[in-house]
Amino acid sequence: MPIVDEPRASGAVGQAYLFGLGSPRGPDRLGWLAAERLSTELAARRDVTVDRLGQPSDLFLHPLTAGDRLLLLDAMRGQGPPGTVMAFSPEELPVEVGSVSSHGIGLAEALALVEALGLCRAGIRILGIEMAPAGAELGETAIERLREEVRRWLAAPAGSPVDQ
Amino acid sequence: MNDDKRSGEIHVPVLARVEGEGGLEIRVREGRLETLKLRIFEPPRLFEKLLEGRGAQEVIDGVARICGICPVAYQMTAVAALEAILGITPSPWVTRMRRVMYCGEWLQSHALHIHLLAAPDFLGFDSAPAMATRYPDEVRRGLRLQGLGNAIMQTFGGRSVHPVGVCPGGFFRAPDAAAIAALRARLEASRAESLALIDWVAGLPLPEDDQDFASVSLRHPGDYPITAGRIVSDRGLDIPVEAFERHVKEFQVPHSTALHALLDGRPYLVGPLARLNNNLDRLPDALRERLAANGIRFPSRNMFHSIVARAVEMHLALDEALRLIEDYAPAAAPHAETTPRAGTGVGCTEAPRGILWHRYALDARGLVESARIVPPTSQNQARMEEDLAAALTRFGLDRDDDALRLHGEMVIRNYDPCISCATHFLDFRADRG
Repeated sequence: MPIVDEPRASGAVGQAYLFGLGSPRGPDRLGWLAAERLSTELAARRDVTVDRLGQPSDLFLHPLTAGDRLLLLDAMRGQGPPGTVMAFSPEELPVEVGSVSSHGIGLAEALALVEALGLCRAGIRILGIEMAPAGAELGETAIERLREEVRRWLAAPAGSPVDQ
Repeated sequence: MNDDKRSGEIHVPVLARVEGEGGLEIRVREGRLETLKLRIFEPPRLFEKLLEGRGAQEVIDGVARICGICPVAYQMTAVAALEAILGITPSPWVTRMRRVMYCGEWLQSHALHIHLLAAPDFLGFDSAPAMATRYPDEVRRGLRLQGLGNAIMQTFGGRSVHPVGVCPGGFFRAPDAAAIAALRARLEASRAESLALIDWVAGLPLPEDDQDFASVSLRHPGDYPITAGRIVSDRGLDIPVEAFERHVKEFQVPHSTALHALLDGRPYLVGPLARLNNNLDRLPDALRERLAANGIRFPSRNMFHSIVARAVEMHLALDEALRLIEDYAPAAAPHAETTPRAGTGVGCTEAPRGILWHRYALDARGLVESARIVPPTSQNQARMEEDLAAALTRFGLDRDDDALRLHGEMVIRNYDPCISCATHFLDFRADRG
């Protein structure tokens, strides 16, 4: 069932940013595929901004404020069968995500900067989508699970446990 | 033993805020530096061997994987070498747009280094997030400029990480006019920010540490060098890129998986400071005046002025991109057709960290018989060790281990070393025994 097109009931005043991380091709494109699918379903929601980002640091190109909330969709590996969707708070990210290059700003560094800059205090959540060894397609099961997570995220009061 | 005649060893096990894995080891005997080793233990990546038997396009796409920060430098250097073999002279449109794409990489790479790696050192923070709590506007400005660089690369390469748009003879496709118009608007809107960045960086409390070194860079007849030029130094070197191997000798040292390099038997510097030292007259007048107004004189012998050179090059790159896309129209033929042929060719361009040199030999089918890649960090390694020895001695070898370790790391980070590129870094150990 597509995401219900109605304003957030949470009463949060900030914008909700939903970013797919990845690239246009290869197994790493799952985050982009998910963002593309969800952007269509969220098109009427003026309180939600959906974008595809080539690098986590590109999120700073958006005018994020303290009152906003942030949902990141990214491909993951080694967390279950292909298509598995898992939700994480920044603190729950697998350790290997934190050990990224200092030259690029990886996900962990970008989120540390978001925290240090006092942005997106209304909540940050990361949805990981398990990639397949070859190719990258979003199955209907994964899409439905993503919809569920996005629906919960949009409905949750700002700063609630589901949003952190 | 008194403090002035201290002996011992200091080890930095793993260097922070550098790309790749390495360490620093020093041994002090009776107050004098006895040995200093910049240890690079990241496993060799053997890229040159992996390229053997591959075609030109595979080389261009493959070398982009050497580095996530400077893939364009690798692609542009490889394509220059390959086009030399294939007998292709890129069209003026291709030449201009390649320079624009390269400007994007300078913007993003320099922005990252200034804001996330170097500036925290000068302002007394142990990390970029810690600095961001005190300097939020400056960090966000830097990240916006970095994102702008990514956007330029994505426009031409389809994506900013390991872009895929470059091919022998040009690009697979020409960006449409609307995409370039949107890019142009963003560049225009960011000019004030990149100018303000120069002033901010010039005002940082940079240590005074003048040293004697040879600055080596490309030199172009008319432009600030990025994609082409002759190799020059401020000591009189002036050679075509084909003569590089006659002057630069690479060699292995036991403590590093990355080759060291000497120019005519001496360490030398490549990178933004060397580039600016050798090409001050290639800056636009207004930019040179802005720099002079900030009171920092170039050519400079102070390695810590590298961060100022990076900020200057960011604004230059932004303005160059704007200038080159001013009357943009998509090329009807964004690339020339190519026919495989045998031969040997070299390419040399100015990666963000300094000159990057490639040589390929192709067989009659256009497949790689041999490849040689000399990245900037390899070239700077001997200079870094020379700098560390001078800088730590001047800083005071009697200082405690933590202070020496921090200063050593700052000196190394100032070079923006890319060990992943070079291995093809910091574990710090000081022996005072």
